[in-house]
Amino acid sequence: MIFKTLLPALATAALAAFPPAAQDVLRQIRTSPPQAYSAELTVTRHGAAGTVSKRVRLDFSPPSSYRREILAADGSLERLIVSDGKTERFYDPSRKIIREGEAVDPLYKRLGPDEELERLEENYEASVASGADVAGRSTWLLELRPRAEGRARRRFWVDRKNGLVLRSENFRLDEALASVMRFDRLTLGKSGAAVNLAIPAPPGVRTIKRLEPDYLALEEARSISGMEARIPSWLPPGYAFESIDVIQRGRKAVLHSRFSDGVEVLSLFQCPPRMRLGFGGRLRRRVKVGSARGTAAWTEEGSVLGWSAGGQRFILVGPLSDETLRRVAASIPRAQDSAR
Amino acid sequence: MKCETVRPLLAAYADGEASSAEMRAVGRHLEGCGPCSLELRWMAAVSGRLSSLPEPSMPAGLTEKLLNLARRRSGSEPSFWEALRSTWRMPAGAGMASAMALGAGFLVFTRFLSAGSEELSLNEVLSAHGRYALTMPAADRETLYAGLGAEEEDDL
Repeated sequence: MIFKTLLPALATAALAAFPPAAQDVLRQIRTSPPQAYSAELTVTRHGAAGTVSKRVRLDFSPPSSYRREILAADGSLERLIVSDGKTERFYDPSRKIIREGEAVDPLYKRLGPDEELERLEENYEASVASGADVAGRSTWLLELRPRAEGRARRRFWVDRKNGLVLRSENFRLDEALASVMRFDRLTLGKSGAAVNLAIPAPPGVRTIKRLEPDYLALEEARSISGMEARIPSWLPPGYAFESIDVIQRGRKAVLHSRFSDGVEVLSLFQCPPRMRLGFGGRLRRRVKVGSARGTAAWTEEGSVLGWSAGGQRFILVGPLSDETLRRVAASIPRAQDSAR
Repeated sequence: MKCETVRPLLAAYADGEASSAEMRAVGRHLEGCGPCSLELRWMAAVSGRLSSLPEPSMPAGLTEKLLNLARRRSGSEPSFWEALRSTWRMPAGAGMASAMALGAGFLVFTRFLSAGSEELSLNEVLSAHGRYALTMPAADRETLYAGLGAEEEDDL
């Protein structure tokens, strides 16, 4: 009798201890959690200017409503982001502005979710092991290790029951930590619980409509903007073109071409003549881009390279080495070559 | 779109408050229409300069002066001298508004002369890059959201 009840229980426990397939965990973290929750978390970024930590209060209700309060060091509200799943609003109290636009939705991308996962698995080795508890929850540790040099690894601590990423570590190419995110408190709520989408904005705050990002093919971008996208002939191994967004600035258009390896993003901005790139107060240095002169900077989002060629201004952004960005830049064809 | 259709939309376009379809359509029209482009540029310049001017303050005792004036005029005809003075006296606030308009006009003129290059801030670039990164399957959403928003200086 004891044998009949004990053996299945032992088998169940043994199976639960075996990590699931990495593919299953990847699919889990890609989809929204099935359960409402509220949480407090800390995000720490290590940048050229030092280490900055922010606390975030987060309320989530499925399928995709949320309220993110990003707090300054003194606990005051630095930014507020709310979304009902369709419309997203950013409130910046210091500038008295609310930016309103469509919520981010990867379903509009040209590359489907399964194709993107395939690209990820081609370029990264995904492994799952038992992870340390985070915010009192047991986790699986998902690690993404690049299969080729020139990329950085990532680690995620994933809630075993609901697939929520409770902790993450992003590394730089030199293996130094770039950022850490950690849930400090997690309270699971009842399904159907509504998120408070109200913005406590005082009088005088203005709302600006933000244009929705597009996911255009080359021909569509040319038709809308009148500009020929100049796509690099060389990309780092594993990177491929995904789509273009046309960003209107008055009567000028900026093309934002996006490339990815399934995990990381490389952005190429192509600007019309006489549009300058303002680096603000960031540290920058002069570099050579082929025969042209360019400007490079390092940011939390990765390296930035700006230069002019053929009367247009280009900007590359990505978590790649300066040398790799310069090689991409040098492979961008001239205007007359693009038109062939 | 014809100019007659575009002109009523220019104000909303300048403020970034038109719908995305209108923004695109107006943007395409502006690429090939000098007059509408010039009107937009003037509109944006005046709006920007007026909003940066200090708010005029009400002169002390103005309300009482206006009430006294109304009482005198309701009771009797103005004297020759009052009539003469009233033709030169501007309504309250008009003097300040005139000065603002002249100042704005001058600023528009000088801005028009120096117009030509525009600047794209690195923060705007990073914001567009970060918003796309949010769509990736293994996106670290909390880290990305914590870094978004405050960087945008202009509406992209």
